[in-house]
Amino acid sequence: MDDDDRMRALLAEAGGQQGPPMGISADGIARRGRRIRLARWGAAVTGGLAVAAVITVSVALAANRHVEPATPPVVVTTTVDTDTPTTTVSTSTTPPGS
Amino acid sequence: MGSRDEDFSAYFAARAHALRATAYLLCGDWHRAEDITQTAMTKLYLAWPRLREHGMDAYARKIVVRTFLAENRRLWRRREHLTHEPPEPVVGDRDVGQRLLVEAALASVPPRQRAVLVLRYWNDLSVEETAEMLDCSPGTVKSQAARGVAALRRRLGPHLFPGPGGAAWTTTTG
Repeated sequence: MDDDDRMRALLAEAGGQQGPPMGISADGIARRGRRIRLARWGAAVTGGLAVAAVITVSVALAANRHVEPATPPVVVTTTVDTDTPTTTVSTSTTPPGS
Repeated sequence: MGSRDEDFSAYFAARAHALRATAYLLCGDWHRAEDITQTAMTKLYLAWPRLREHGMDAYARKIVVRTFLAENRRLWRRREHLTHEPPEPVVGDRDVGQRLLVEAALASVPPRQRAVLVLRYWNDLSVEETAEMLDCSPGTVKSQAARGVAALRRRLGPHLFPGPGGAAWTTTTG
């Protein structure tokens, strides 16, 4: 008998026993499963409604907000008058009395 | 009761005890094995419409093994260990004594190695199927199985677990 067969025999010995009566039933599992499904469905609906409410409120607030009209931009223009004559004042460098 | 519930009831009647036995070999405690079976069956019920006929057993086994491994990672499971077994082995009944010895030896093997041993030698899965179930490589399964068998041999000794050229296999004699 090789190791694999010995292991199978060992586990068959340990796992082959009857054990206590089963404390769970298919009906109990099905009831539990239906409760979980209902809870998940409720959570999904609640979450969806919450998201929809947040989106609705956000859109409503954005649509009703009073916006001041924008002021027109101020244009600053500068002109250079080229027709006005210019005068130059010459100063003497010779000191007086020389 | 709908068709889904009827089909599930039929499957439960056919497979629940085998699943509980697998869980028992993994955890060594009938009460905990029943909890694990209940978790597996509930998940199976929820996934029922999506499962194909031939995939149910594999799916249920996978949930059992993964639930067991996940529970073992929780610290409180290590501190508190409930058992319905008497603290001392029953004296006088050799078969029961040997079975308790085997269970104690199995419990001494680390959980992941135990899972490999149970899947390979109790559920008769191939190395590849075991690797898929445990989400690891076939090489890891082989090494874990070899370590698990070595640990059991150390624990049980040559009387119950003789070496390759050892004495006769004596678990059922007496």
